[in-house]
Amino acid sequence: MNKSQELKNKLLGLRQFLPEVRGAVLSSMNGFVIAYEGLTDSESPKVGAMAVATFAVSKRVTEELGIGNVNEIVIRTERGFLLIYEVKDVGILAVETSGNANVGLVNIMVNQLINNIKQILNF
Amino acid sequence: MTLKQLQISIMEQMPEEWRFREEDSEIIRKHKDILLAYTDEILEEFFKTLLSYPSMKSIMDKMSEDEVKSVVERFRKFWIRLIEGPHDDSFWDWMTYVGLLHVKRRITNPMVLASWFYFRAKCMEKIKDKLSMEEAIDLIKALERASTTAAALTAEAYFQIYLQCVEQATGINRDLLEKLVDIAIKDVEDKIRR
Repeated sequence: MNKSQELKNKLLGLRQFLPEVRGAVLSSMNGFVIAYEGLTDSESPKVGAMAVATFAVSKRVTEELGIGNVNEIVIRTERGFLLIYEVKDVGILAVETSGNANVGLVNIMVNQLINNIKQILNF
Repeated sequence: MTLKQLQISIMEQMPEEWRFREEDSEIIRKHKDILLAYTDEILEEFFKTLLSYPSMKSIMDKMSEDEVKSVVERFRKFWIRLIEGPHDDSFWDWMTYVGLLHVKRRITNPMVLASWFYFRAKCMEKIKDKLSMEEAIDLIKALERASTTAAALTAEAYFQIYLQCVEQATGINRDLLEKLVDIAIKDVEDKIRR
């Protein structure tokens, strides 16, 4: 199995374990999609690049405030959550969930997923 | 990127045959007396037109009296330098720096390009009866190259510095910005086609 398929399977695993997760996309820091699951072919590059931009802006503002590194970004909307995480040396992972998701549990599972992603990509 | 690096990178984007050359500098300087004799008239008409145009006037209105005086003085220096030279690196650095000032003052590229038209047209008007056809054509070509090169530096510096400010303010790097533009341009194209 190639790395791309392995990454896709890991993202699928997250969705299977947490049905509230609707989709996820992993992008490089330049906004290029590395892997995605649950999003359409046209959604994933847009969501991926915008998530990286959102992370960049958040990092910039927290640097300005001097309040340390960004761990994750939680955007709560009327119908769900968009959670954005940094995968060090790889890029940005964006996870979309329904409104009834347990964000704490998603965080725990995503942190495990991030370790898996790094292992697959040899970081 | 420093202004110097920016100037070099913009120059490199223009074919050498079409940008300003040393020969152009010699031609302009050769006829400087004809053009410099009209300095007051050319600048007076320039500012009269500029101040009669609302979008340009609104920029000048935001400046203090001292700033306006300094702008008028800078234009005089610019005109004299354009005609008299030297057309060396420091002149092109200056034209690049103008791009930065324009971002600050919100002086748009259409305003810059229109202003260059005015200076070119005035030069043509003033030389047409004073030089032979051949000499006039050579001078016009030299002035065209000077204005095209200067306008390219100012306009592209404006754009690049604007992007650099966006990068710095948002933390979004240039590659990501380009990716976002690639994504957005598809939507823009779709809207235009509709």
